[in-house]
Amino acid sequence: LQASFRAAAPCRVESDQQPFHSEAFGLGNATAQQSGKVTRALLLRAGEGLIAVAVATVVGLLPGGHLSESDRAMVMLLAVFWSAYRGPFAVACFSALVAVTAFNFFFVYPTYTFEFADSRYLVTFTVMAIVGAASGWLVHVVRRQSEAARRYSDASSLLSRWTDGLAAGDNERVLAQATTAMLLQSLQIHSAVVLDGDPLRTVAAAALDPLCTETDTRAVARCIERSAPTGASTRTLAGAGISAFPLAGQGGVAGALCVEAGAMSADAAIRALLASLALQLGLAMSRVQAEREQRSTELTLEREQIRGALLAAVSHDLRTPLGAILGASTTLVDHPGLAEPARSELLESIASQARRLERHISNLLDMTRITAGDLRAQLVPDVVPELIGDVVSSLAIRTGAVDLRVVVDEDAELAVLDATLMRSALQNLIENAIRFGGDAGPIEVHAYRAAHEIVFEVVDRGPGVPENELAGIFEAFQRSSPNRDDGGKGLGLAIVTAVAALHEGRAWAWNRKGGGLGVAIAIPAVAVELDDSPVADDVVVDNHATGGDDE
Amino acid sequence: MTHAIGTRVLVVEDDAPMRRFLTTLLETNSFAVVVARNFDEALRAIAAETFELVLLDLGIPGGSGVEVLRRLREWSNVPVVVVSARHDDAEKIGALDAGADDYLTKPFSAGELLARARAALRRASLSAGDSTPVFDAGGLVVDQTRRVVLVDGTPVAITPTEYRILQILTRNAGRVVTHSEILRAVWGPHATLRAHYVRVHMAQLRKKLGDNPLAPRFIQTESGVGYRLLVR
Repeated sequence: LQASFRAAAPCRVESDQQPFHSEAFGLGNATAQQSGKVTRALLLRAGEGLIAVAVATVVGLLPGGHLSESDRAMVMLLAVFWSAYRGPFAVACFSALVAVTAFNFFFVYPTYTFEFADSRYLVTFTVMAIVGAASGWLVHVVRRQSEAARRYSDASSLLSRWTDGLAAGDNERVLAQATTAMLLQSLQIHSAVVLDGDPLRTVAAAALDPLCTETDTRAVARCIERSAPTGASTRTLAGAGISAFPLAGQGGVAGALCVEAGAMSADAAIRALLASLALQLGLAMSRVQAEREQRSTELTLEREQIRGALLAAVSHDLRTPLGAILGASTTLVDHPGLAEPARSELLESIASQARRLERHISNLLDMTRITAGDLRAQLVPDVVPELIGDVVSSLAIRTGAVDLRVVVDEDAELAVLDATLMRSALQNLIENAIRFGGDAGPIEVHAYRAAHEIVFEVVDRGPGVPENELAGIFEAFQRSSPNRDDGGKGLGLAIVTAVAALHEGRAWAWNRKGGGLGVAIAIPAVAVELDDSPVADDVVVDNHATGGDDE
Repeated sequence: MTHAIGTRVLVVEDDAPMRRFLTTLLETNSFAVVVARNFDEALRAIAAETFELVLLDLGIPGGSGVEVLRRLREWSNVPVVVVSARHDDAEKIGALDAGADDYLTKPFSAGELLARARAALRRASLSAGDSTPVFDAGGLVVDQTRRVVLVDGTPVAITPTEYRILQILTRNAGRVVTHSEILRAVWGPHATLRAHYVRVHMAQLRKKLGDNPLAPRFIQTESGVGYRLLVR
C-alpha cells in the first residue's frame, strides 16, 4: 500500500506543472458568457486607447503652445504606451495605428490631411508604430507571466489539496468527488467518475452525466475494458459526448474519469494532465480497495478465531460438567446399593454440575447475542440496589454460606443502563468472585459515583491473578492460568467487557493489597430526569390523610 | 405440607424425561397428577376435568401454550404456573399478561418447582375466600378501608402513587405482577413505555417499607418481568 502511494508521488510534480502550460496560453475552456465579457473588455480598452490618443492630440493642438513636432510625437507615444499598459497587445497595436494616423492628420504639414510632404515622416510614423507595438508586447508579456504565476500557484494549491485528499480519502466516492471538484475549480472542466460494475455507477459528477447516451456508456465501458482512453478526441468511439480515462490501479481498472467532449480537444498538455490525474486517482482507489479488503480479511480472520475459540470453549465448558454428571449418574445406576455418604456426594455433584452447565449455556447465549454485532444497549433509568438485589437473589442458591456484602452509595442509586446486560455482567463478576474467593473472605460489591461514572466494583480475597495476565483476562476464552481452569471464567469477563463497551463504559481488574482480585465495570453517569412523570406533583403525604380516590 | 393430599395438578409438557421428573416429584409430594402431552390433549383435559393447579409448558406441539392459557382463563381462575425453556422475558411477560400466576424457567430444581406450586395454591385459596379489604401478611398490613399501611404495627407514610402500586400488588399477592400491569393501573393505558417510573417508585416504596432489595421481606423483584408481593 505504501509502495503504491509512493509510486503515485512523482505524478504529482508532473501534474502540478500541467496547468501552467495549459492555462497560461489561454487555452482553458472559456464559456460563451466569458467570451462575451472578453469582447466587451476589448472594446472598452480600445475606447480608452482612442481617448488617450485624442487627449494627446488636444495637448498638441493647445494654442500658444511651444511644442515642437518631436514633443508632440513624444506625447502621442505616451498615449500609445498608456493604452498598451491598460489593454492587451491588439489594443496596443490599434492605439499605435490611431496615434500615427492622428499625428499625420493634425501635426504633419500639410495639416488636416492624410498627406505628408516630407518622406522623412515615414521614419517617424514607423518608429512610432513600432514603439507602440513593442511596448504593448512587453506589457503583454509581463502581464501574462504574472497571471501565469498566479494561476500556477492557484492550480498547484488545488492540486496539492487534491493529492492530500487522495491520500486521506477512505472510500471511492470521496476520492472521486475531490477529483471532479478540483477539475471544475482549476480547469473549469466538467467531469464525472464512473466505477466499474454491472451496471456502471457514477459516484461523483460535476455538471456531467457520463452515462446519459448509449455511445457515452459504451465509451466508458470500453475504456475500462481496454484500460485506454476512449471517446471524444481519441481513436475509439470518437463520436461520444465524453472522453474517458481509465482509473488503472494495482488490481485492474476500477473505473473511468470522464470529461466533457472538447475539454481536451485543443491541447495535448490537458490530455496528458487528465491521463495523469486518472492514473493517480486509479492508484488511490486501488489503495482504498486494498485497505478495505485487508480490513475485511482481518475481520473474517478475527471471526474465525473467535469461532474456533468458541468451539473449544463450548467443547470444554460443556463437556466437563457433562462428564461429571454422566459419571456420577452412571455410578448410581450401576451401583444401586452404594452406601452413604458416597451416594449423596454423587447426587450433589450431579445437581451442582448441572447448574454449572446451565451457567455456561446462558453465558454462551449472552456472548453470542452480544457479539452478533447488531445489539444496542437499551438504556433506561434503573435502580441500582434493586438490580444488584435481583442478581444476588438469582445467585442465592449458589451463594449459600458465602459472606457477600453489598454497598450502594446514595449518589449511585439511580443509573441509566441496560438492565439485562448489566445483570449478566454483574452476575459473572459476583460468580467469579464466589468461585475463586468464596472461601477466602468476604466478597464485597460496591456501587459508587466517581466523577462522570458509576462504578460497580466486586472484590474478593481469592488468589488474584498474576500481574502480567491482568489485562488479558478480559479477552474471550482466556483463563488466567491452567490451574484456575474450573469453569468458564474467560467467557464471563469477556461478557463484562462487552457490556461495558455497549454502555460506552470500561472494565478493569487489579490485585488487591493483602490478596484478592478486584474487578470493576464503570458506565457513564447520566442525569435521570423524572420530571415528565404524570405524578410529578406527587408529594409525600401521610396516608392517614388521603382518601377518596381509591378506585 | 401446605396443600391437601390428592390436590389435582395438570401437567402440560411434551418432553418425556421432563414429564417423568414432574410426575415423580409431584406424586411423591402427594399431588394427583394428570398429564397432557400436546395442545389438543391440554384442551381436552381442561374441558373434561377440574384442577387445582396447572403446570403449563409454553412450547408444546400442536399449538401455543399461551393459547391454552387464554382459553382456560375464559372460564377458570385455576392457578397456572407457566414453564418455559427460553430465557425470553417477552414470552414470560406475555404469559403473565394472559393470566398466568407465575413462571418457571428451565432448568429449575425440585425445590423451586414445589415452592412455586405451593405459593400458587396458597394464593388461590386466599383469594377464593377473600372479601376482606385488609391485606395482612408477614408484618405488612394494607388496610384499604382506612388507607393505612403498617409495617410491624407502625404506620408508614407513603405517597398516593406508592399506595396505588401497593394496592395492585396486594390484590395480586403472591402473583408476579408485570411492569406493564402496574404502569397501566397506576399511570393509565398510555404510559406503558415508561417502565422506569415503576422501578423508581418501587424503590422509594421499598425504602419506606424498610424492605431490603438484597433480601426482600415484602416485595420480590422478578428479573426483567415485574414484582411479586411475598405471601408467607
